[in-house]
Amino acid sequence: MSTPIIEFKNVKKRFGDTTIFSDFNFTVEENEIVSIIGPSGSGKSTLLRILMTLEGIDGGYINVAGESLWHMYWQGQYVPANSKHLHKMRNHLGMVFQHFNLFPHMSVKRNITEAPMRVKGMSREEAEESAEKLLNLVGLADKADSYPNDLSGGQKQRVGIARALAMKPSILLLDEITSALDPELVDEVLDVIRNLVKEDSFTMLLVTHEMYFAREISDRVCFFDKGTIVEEGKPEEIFTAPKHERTKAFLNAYLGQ
Amino acid sequence: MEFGEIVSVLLQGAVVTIKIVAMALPLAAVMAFIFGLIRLYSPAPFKQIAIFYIEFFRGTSALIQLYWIYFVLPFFGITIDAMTAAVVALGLNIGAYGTEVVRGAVQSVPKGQYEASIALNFTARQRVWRIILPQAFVNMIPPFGNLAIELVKATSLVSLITIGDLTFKAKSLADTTLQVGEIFGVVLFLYFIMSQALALLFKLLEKRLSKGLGRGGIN
Amino acid sequence: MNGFSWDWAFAWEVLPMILSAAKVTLLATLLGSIFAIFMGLVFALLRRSPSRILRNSIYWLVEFIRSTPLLVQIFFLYYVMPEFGISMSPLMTGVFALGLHYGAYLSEVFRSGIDGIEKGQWEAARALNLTTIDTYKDIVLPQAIRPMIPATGNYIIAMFKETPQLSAITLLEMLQVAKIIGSENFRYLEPFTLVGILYLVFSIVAAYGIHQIEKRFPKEGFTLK
Repeated sequence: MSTPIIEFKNVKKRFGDTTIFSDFNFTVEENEIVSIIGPSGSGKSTLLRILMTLEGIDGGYINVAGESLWHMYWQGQYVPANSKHLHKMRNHLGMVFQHFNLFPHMSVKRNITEAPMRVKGMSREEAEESAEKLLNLVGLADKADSYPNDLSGGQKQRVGIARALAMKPSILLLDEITSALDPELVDEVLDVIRNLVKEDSFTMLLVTHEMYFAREISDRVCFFDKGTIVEEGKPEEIFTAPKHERTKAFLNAYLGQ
Repeated sequence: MEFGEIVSVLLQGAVVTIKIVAMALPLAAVMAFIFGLIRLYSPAPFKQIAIFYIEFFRGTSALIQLYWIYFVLPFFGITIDAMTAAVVALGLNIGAYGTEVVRGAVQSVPKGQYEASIALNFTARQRVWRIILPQAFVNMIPPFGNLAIELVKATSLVSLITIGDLTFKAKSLADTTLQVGEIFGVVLFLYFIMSQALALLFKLLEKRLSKGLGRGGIN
Repeated sequence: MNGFSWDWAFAWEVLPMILSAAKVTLLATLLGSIFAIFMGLVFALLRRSPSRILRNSIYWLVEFIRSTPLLVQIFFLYYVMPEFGISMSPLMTGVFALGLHYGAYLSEVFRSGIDGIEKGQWEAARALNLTTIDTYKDIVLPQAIRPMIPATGNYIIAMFKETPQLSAITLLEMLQVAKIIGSENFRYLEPFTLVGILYLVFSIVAAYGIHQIEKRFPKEGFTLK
């Protein structure tokens, strides 16, 4: 088996007095699509936020693409990462947020081209060409010159996806990307993800409450509770024959099975 | 003294007042930005200096600051004319209040904007200048408008260091003629007009810029 | 004369004079605050009156007071009041000006404090058939006061910092005394610096005091007898 692209080893994470992870271990293989489900407050989003370097860790190690994320090798030992190291590591990762977090002062096109130009040093022409392709992919070619405040929630989130993809991350993190949407707008966003994985192979880690979607798209589903993976396996196994009581209770409550 | 004569003397004073506002306002804005950003983003020693500046100028009165700069600095061999003392004192005073405007506006930008800019791997400098500040700037306009009015009002203090501004002219007219009611009525009216004009200006600016926030006027 | 360095002996010599003038400053602030709170309440309540003309006139009066300089208002009262046969001491003129000026600011604080009371509270008072006065006295004000404390306190501190302007009408408050000492001795460094430090100290103490009052104030309001 190849080395996993994401590896959590004995990770500890606290917020004040609340322990999120006391000793967390987790791996993701390259090109694997992993869904994380579970009750709120179980640490699902924290997992993604730690990977995106939005939250630090209080102990343990994380490897991304064979390199330590939160530590760097310096003068013969591992030390906490500096901003330069984090900047390098973030090139592997992209994230789509629950509340979109589009930049309201920039056009849709500019939202997508800004980071490739400023961070990757791409030329304007190149960045705009790529933005055009991405907007086609998410079905918003006609909205390039609109501003985020003029878009519906579903459209905003599709721009959010295009913006993350423009940086060509090898790992895509989707943090409850449909939770803030009206029910009728959920599918247009999920369809984009469906098309995406059909056309290309991705390592994708998604936190979601859309159980049918998780079942359909994932290679593996992890049921999270209180900072641990209670149960994981192929989607069919988890959804049709959950072994653990807590998984059963959660799925019962969620799907009304 | 005829009413027209009184008004024309007072208008001369108003011109001086406007001049002081026109010079002190940019100084205040520059101070507010520099020290507001230092306060937010700089490491310890600079941050301490910024806090000292802010607390000192907000904690003591504008008039004391003006006197200190005008009367005390010459003791240290720094002699400046009354006009410079006025602009410096008022600019530093209003600027100190302005740092809080800058800080508040930056902190009112949603946290998600900051997180998205990390996720897109912008550098710390790019995050501040390209993502946070353009959005914060619009939020600063209304409170800056209020500070501009505070500045107009504070300029009346310069009459106490013998600058011939609107208040100074009013007081000298009042000391020499007996038409105090007319004089101070006109003066209050002129200040009111100046404040309202400035308030209107900032409102228009805000309207333009927030339109820009939705339509991309500022990039 | 050695003007470049701080003269401790001189500072100690003038400190008692400045401190005794501080009493005048504090008295002006205290009386000014009481008058400002009274005027603020009057303005705020008149802004809620049923008469549109009255509401609008009070709005523009408050706007006018807030957008013209305190110093000019002080002069106005000082020079114009005697025209109408009202002559007041510099202290009372100052208190009157401070109270009017900051009353205009405080009226906005009080207004938004009263507006902050849930609509349901007014409706409940109406349902219980309370009179308007009882509604304000027993229902609205007891709940509205706590959230008003910080802003009110800040304006009182701001007023305190503007008391040096009363020196312009010859009130012997701290800054005026310091200025007189300075001109008599050709030495402004120590007196002005001392006054500045005293203002800083008083402001910090007052800010702490206001914070304490807010903390101690019962969260659920209080009941008037």
